[in-house]
Amino acid sequence: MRSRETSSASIIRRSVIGLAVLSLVAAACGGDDDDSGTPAVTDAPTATDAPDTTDAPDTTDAPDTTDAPDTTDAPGEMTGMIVQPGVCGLGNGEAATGTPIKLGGAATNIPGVDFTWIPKMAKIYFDCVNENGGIYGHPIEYSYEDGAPDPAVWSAIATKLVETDKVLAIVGNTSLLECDVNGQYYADHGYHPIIAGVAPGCFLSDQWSAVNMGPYYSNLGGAQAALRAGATGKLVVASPDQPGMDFNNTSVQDIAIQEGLDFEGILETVPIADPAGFAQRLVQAAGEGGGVVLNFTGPTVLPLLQAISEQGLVDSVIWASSTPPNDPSVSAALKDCCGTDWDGKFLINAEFNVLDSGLPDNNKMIELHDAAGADFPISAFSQFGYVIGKWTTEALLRMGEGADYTVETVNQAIFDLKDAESDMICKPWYYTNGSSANVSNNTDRTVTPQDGNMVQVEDCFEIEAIAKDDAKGINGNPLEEIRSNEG
Amino acid sequence: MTHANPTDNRLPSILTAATPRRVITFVAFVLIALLLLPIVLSAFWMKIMFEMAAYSLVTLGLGLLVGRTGIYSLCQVPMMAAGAWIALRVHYLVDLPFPLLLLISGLLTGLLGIVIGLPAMRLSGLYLALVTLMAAGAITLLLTVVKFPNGGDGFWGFDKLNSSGQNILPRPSSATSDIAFYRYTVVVAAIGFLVAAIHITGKPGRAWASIRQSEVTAVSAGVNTTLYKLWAFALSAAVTGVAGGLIVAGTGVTTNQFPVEQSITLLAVVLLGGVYNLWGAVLAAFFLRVFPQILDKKLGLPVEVLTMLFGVGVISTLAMQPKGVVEDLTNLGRFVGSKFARSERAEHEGVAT
Repeated sequence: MRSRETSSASIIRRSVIGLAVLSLVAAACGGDDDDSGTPAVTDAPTATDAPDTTDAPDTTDAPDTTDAPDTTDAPGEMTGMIVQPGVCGLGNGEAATGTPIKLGGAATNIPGVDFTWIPKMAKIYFDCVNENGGIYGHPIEYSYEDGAPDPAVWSAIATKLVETDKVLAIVGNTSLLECDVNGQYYADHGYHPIIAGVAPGCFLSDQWSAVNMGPYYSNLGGAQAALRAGATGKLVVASPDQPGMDFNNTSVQDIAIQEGLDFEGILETVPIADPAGFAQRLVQAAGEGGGVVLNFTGPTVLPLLQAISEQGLVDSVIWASSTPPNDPSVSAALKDCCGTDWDGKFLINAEFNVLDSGLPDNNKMIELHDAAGADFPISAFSQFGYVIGKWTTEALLRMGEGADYTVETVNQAIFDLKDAESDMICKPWYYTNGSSANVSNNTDRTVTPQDGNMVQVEDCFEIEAIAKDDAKGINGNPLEEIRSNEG
Repeated sequence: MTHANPTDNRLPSILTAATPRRVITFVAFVLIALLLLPIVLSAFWMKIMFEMAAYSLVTLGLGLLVGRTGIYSLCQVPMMAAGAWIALRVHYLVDLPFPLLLLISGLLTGLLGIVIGLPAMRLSGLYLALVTLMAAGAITLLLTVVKFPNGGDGFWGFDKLNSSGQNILPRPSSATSDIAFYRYTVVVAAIGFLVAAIHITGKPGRAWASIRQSEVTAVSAGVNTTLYKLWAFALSAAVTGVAGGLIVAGTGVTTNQFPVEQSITLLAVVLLGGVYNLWGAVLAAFFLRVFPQILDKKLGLPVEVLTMLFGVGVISTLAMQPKGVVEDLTNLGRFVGSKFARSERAEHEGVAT
């Protein structure tokens, strides 16, 4: 027995030594072999490589909107865009049958945080584009992945989209984490995603461009609205306890310090387990007359608002919010649960227009959403998805008829996109203007629930540009530089 | 179907009984993982294989506790987080070679394992599982409050003005690419399995086996049960801590990716894979990281189906095959092997006649 054990142990020890040697060999030979297959960074389109926008096809080539299939809502005024307001792509009513243009996206989907509504709406728009001429006859083949906020998951998703699915562009990504994980990977492979940004990293370079402004700036917009409504003493901001949210809360901290108010940032696990207790905590933190900015999605914030109402805390502080609850289903649910308690008392920073604006793009989005029998409500998220679809289509159409659709050309077209318009936003959008940060959507509205609807209470206003001030502990934001480059 | 004999307490393992044939199988498996898989699999699947390789150390750690000593711990996932946290913090404090960083991460996590194990010494079964679950909750809560270090100052090293939500450790200079780091991870995992095998075949393994069968008998036989139970906790935590170090360099980590409930899923897959055989840990890692991707990407099924599948799998494993799926696969291999040998023999006899 002993000799057998000794023999076994000896074999195992020899194996350990063998593997240690193997380890050294593997480490030495491993090299960077999968780097060799990837395009060099210099292959990626850069701002300096960007052709002049005068190279874009003459917009006079755009099909006459009179060719557009008749929708119940008439298209809006003609713009400099190929894709006209309230129209899907070329709008010629002919199904696209050419070689598909493959696009891919991905979104975070965990309990309490579902961003898949954005790629879902983009897909609905692309399907409509395909029924209306596609990209000069080429249909857009769009698919999306979803995942939890785990870096391994997002790294794998990017690899799948780029190397397995071989999509030509990354479109509609909305993730709590991706901008921190995949920036270098996309740069190495020549991709410039057009996204809805959440993580702060999505707004710090022109590797990406978000159609929205993200929670950092939207929280700030909510805080501005709360201050204008008379919040005094202290500002509190509450966000989901997710990666990057500490940083997102600091925008409210900056404006609180600037205005001489106290500040408290709170991170809460979502879905909120005890809305009543959390409501008490928020009110206690802000103090009488203070301001509270909530940074949660519609489905997460509703039970909290109901708990606030049930405890008679609606008037204790000024309640504001970042964009996500700009959703008619939220205002309708608030009317059902709480009557008129919340009318005019929940100031939501709206990165996009109210959903019942009656304007062509909004109407088209609602029409498409209803026709598709979508399994998600109409909300700000669906607006994000709609404009992502619309502007990606515009970028592809600006490449001109007969263009060669490759990763390089398609991403160059997306990167070059400027003067992208929609009645959902306050001013034209661009992919990048060469600033040190990238927040092209930086002008918002404020909306509030009123009798079961969301109504606008403040027209377009600029999100506060705050200068860094180390002495006061203000981190600051780059909006002044961005606006100066906008000209 | 083969039904396990509940009184059969042998510990069948390719490594515990390191016959030359089994050693060759192990080396062949490692070589296939190192050399063949990177050639045949796409970049996407190689990322998943990296996760499987790293998580095989986590399942190995839990398998050692459950299978060898009969300790049911629900604290393995927070141990992995602790390993990642320690690796990040040590890296910020001092620039060390990566293997040394992994070693320190393993050792310090092993110490943490002893701390968790100490109060659990007088408990067993459900009560012990409950205590380790509470410990897991405490570690997760602590991590939620202090977060992973991201380059900030002070002991905790978290700076909220750092906009990145991801915390990542630089990979070793010899393995910066995904494939190279996957190979590095496979080698580290193989070493981890061999270290575990050395323990199992040596004095600790015999002590654990006697504790598992009857702690009273073990004490009467002169086994220092406290020492060897703590040893098991330490070894289990140490290999898991190394896995944490590999994961934080391979893909990075975030605070919320180590929920307590994941420890329960981990226990389920480890039981499903098989706790009495080290290959069971590899199979469990496959169930944990690769199987969900096959369900989602290849079969188009929602990942939520996994919870049901694991539930059904664990019930059927406990009821019909306590040695796990790995034993079924072993039996299948033996069956195919015997059929093959029989037909070969028949062919030889036919030629002879």
